[in-house]
Amino acid sequence: MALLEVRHLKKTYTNRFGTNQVQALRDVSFTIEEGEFTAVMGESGSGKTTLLNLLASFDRPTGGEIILNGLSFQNIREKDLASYRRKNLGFVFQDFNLLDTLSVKDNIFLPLVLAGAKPEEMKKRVMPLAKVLRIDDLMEKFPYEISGGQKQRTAIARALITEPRLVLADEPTGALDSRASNELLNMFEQINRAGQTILMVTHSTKAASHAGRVLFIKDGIVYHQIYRGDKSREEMFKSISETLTVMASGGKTHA
Amino acid sequence: MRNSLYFKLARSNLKKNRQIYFPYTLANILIVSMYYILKSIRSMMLKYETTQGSNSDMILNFCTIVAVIMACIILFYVNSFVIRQRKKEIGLYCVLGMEKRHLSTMMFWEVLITALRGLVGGMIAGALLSQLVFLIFLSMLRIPSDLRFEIPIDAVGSTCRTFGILYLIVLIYNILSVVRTNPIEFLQGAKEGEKEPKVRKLPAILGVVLLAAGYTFAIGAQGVYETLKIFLPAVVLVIAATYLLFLAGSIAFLKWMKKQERLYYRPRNFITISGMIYRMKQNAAGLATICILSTAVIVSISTSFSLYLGEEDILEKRFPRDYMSSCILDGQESNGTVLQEAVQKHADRTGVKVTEGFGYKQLWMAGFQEANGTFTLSDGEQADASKLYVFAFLTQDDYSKNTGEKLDLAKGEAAVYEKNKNQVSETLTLDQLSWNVRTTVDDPGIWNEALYLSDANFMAVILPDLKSMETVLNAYNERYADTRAGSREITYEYYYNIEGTDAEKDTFFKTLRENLVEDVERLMTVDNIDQARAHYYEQYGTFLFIGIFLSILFLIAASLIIYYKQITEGFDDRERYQIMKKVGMTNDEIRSTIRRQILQVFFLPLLMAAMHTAAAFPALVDIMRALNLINQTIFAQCTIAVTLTFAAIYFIIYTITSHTYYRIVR
Repeated sequence: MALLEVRHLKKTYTNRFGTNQVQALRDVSFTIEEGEFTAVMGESGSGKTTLLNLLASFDRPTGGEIILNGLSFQNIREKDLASYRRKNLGFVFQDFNLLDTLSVKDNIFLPLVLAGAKPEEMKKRVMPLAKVLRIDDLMEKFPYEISGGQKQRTAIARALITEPRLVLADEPTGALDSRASNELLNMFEQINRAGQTILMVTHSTKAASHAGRVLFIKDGIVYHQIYRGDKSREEMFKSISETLTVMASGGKTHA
Repeated sequence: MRNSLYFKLARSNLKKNRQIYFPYTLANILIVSMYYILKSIRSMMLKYETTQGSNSDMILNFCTIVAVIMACIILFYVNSFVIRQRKKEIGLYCVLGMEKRHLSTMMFWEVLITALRGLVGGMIAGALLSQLVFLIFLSMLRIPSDLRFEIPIDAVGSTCRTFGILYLIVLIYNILSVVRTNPIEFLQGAKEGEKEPKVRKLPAILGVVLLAAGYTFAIGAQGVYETLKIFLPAVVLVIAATYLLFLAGSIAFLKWMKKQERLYYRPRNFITISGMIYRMKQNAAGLATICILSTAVIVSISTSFSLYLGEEDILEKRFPRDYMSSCILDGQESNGTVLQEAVQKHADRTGVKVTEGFGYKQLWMAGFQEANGTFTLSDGEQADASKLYVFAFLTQDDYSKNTGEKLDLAKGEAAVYEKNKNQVSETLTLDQLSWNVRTTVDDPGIWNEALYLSDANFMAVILPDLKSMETVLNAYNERYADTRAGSREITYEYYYNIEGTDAEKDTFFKTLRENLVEDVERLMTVDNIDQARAHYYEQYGTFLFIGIFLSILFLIAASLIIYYKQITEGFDDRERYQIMKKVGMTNDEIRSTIRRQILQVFFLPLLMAAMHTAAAFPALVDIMRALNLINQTIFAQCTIAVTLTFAAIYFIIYTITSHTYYRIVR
């Protein structure tokens, strides 16, 4: 059974007077298997941020269904959503979203503290993770003292520490320079090889080329998808570019 | 017209920043009206030409000065806050091509509009309220009055002048701060990561030590003299301690909490503690100031209120009858007859009747109790109040006449009343003098201010005759007549009531002194309860009025400071709470975290103020005694009532503020 199943997802935004409707997502369906590293690509306004917000349960869909690990989001009560999110989902944002009043360590601990974990348990979990992400010597520093790449790795540690079923990343390289971006994407691949399922929204071809599969969204539907398979990263990069060119020129490809 | 453009711009700016400008304008109106009311009451007092109220005028004048200082602080604080909040907006105008002189023009209109709103609104509110406040003021002073609506021109002029100057300074400040800053600075605003404050151990420990010292002084002081001596140093210590504790102590404590992992890593404490560390850093000085001013308000209002209310108690003690006259005993007068006859003569002349008269000879002095139980004469300035006694000497004749009890004391014998019912030894020794204590008796019910000044010990000694009293007097004067304490006298105190119409009583009392002086050579006090009451109400009524007035000003200042602090923090915290929401904090958790944080910031100063008040209470009781208020229950009730009222008002401010805060954060 797939880890994540998205069925005929639809989201319509209505303005205050109900006169003007915008269809952000028309009909989106796809599945993600356990252990996959998937990138979602699309231009601004294609609906990819909407999709991510729905998957993150920040927002409710107008139609269709999201099923994570056999449980449909519809069946979760509003007040349980936050704790469900905490247990099952990890987030990595473009602008890091670290709390500037907390040290690196405490930022990583945040979701565990909210879940009521014991200090010993938290400490046991954090060190191996920090070593992998190479932030183990920054633990007592504060966000304003570290670089963007280090901030983003802290954010990843925070996303992973709850051992979530699925990590959702929203343009994780958007605020980083190219060196830090490379480093980060390699880390994502490494984490993914260790078994972590990742779904990443991006419009960077290079970022997407690290993924095992790329979904293209255009005008609110899944327009196309590419599997990496045995392709090298360069080959993957090339096929993504080609697809984007075709999409931009309005040509038709099979979904 | 270019100018009208800037005027329009200024107006729409004020409208857009309503959240900031509305409380500012409201505060302006309030302050202007307070000032106007104060000024117009002064000028109305002068116009009424009441003979009473000369004291009040001085106090009112002082109060006006304080009001101007408060107005300055409030205006400048809020104004600088407003400018800081609008930096981004002003920077944007710069980028859009406005030059500094254009910005200055815009600023000019903004200040002018706000100033006019404040002045006109304040003066209208002031004119409407001043009559009411004047009536309240007069009735507090128990001065009868009839109401006439009027707007004193000099009050209007003075208000316009004073606030005109203040607004001008505000304008200059605003223009300077616009001219001095470059657009990039404006655009950046204050957005950058702040360093976590460091623990400063020494100041924190010093704060605790100073607080303990101040409290020990205040609680440990014995008697009025000692209390008066240590009170100011204790206040200074506590003020210093408050600042140190808020600035360094709070952060040290929070950091210590942070080290306690079991405590820190709990959902409820985690965000609160780490957030509070930063918040305390930014707010410590402000909170400490609020704490100290709150204490000042609570203490001054509750003391003046209880003095005001406790007034009848004191009068009752001082005036067992409505009228009181006294003179010093000398060759002419030995038994009060001269004084009594003179009063009678004057009563006959004015057609009233003297009733229920009684009187006694008395001699007051202080004695110091030695370790062996004997007493030595004292000028009353020894530090150890627990060993200091106030002695009152009476004759057995007077005692029997006034109480109906026969004592039959022989030469060398005495009867004693000891206020605290301490065991009195068989022989009472005062320096070289000594008496066999024949018996102990009930309170003879005599009054002297000295009684209230030293709280603990009082002994009335009833001697066989006037001669024995003179022996004591001579012994005292031999020793102290040439010192600073001066010589003492035996006095005759005469208390009586008068029967007659009000008009007759009035003439009787008005001409009493001049008539008594003719017959009585060494006349001292001529007083009646109504005159004493009038003096009393004028003095403490003014105190109370001013106390309430200044407290309102303070509350305006405090609530504005708190309000603007919360708004600033709301904008800072907004982002933080959005993040926490994304990481998996529920709305309820967020709301309860916010509530805890605001509550702590808000009520920490109030809690500390209550603590200060409680610690100062024993010392205040002593000081109140020096002001003749002996009814501790009234004082305790007043203090509690004032504290609760203050807390309630504070809570209302909190509710309004936190409501705004939620709206921003959400």
